[in-house]
Amino acid sequence: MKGIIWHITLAIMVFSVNSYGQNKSKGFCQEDLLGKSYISDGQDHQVLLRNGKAAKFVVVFYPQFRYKIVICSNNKQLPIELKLSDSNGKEYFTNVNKNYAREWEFQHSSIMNATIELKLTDIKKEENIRLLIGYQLNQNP
Amino acid sequence: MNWRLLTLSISLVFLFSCDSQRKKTIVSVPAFENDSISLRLKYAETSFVVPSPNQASLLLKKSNIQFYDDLATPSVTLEKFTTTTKKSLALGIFGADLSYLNLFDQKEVAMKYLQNVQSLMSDLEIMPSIEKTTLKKIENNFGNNDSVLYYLSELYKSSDLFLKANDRRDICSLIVAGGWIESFYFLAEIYNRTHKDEIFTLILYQSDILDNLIKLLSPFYERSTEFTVLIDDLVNIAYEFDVVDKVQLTTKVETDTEHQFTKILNQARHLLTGSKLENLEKYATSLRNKILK
Repeated sequence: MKGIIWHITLAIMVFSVNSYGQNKSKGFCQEDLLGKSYISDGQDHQVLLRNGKAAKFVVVFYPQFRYKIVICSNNKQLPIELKLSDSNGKEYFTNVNKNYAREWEFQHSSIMNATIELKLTDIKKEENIRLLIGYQLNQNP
Repeated sequence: MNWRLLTLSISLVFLFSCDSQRKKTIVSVPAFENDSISLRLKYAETSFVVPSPNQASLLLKKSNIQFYDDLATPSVTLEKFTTTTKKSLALGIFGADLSYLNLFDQKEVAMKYLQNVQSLMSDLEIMPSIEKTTLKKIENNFGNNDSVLYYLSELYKSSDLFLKANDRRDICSLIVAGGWIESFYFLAEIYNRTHKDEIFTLILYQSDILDNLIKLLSPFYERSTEFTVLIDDLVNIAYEFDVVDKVQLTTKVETDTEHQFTKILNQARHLLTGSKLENLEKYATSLRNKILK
């Protein structure tokens, strides 16, 4: 009898953990953060930020689209620096003076091979983050 | 160009130093999986992102191009895709086909491609339960272009997430490569038929995208002969693009803080001289057909 109870308890625990994981993966940091008007780029961009080092994403932006970038992490309060620069390193945007906003929209008048840099401001911290990139056809170029 | 060889060499060093422990068991998709992320960091701290082939399809539609029924992959038996590499590339190709067919309202034909996508995902053991739900949503929404595009992106994104969580990044990269190869073929072939300036510009834009794709694939250069040949073929196309002169003219930045929006008024001009475009078209067709035949 003890054996049966143990197996049932174990099964419930496994089911609970599994369900939690599924919900977490489905509802957390997924496309709903991009909003309904943006379509995901269809790729998952995850990175572990630590030691004050920047993670870089080299992204090509078409001029005919408006893009939305969302940074997501478990710790919503942690300031994460976002920087956008071109292939020559010329900086076009930073969220440092914008209260470390985690969402921003961009539009380019010509194609741009840009680098998105993400970095924690506190070098002692580490955090897993997910970068979401969405696009929509630009109706007003 | 030497930098490409250098990039490949550096990537190979990363590959051999870090990829000795591929996980064999399939895990469910975690929101954040530390081991997987660490592995990624060991590869490189720079990730290369290739635009979705859906974007190229949207731009074709926006350019008022007519629908060409012979452009999407001709009916092929999936049995010919005998290796994981071929299946992954085909999955990317069929995704780009689906996107093109959806935007041009080819519901009946698109259904066949959707079945191919489902079969290939099953063969590649990509998250069967969730994918089936999304596949059903795509099927039910045919006729509503925006919804299909949305669910198609969801489908490929959840597959990407699942594969990366299981350290199958090579497959992710191949799917992305397949999507790019098919949309590059569309652009080259459509330009050949229409000689529209917008399409010509789009072809030139592929130069930047191809560079990213090569860097994305390069860590797997020596994984198999198929990978080596594929990357070499892409590098050959990149050589053809080397004659494109890229000029960055002026730039002005306008930021609307209230609406969290920044407009970058850059003027990048791409110039192509000589008969190199013919070579690009030839390479685009040849690479795509090599995968499908």
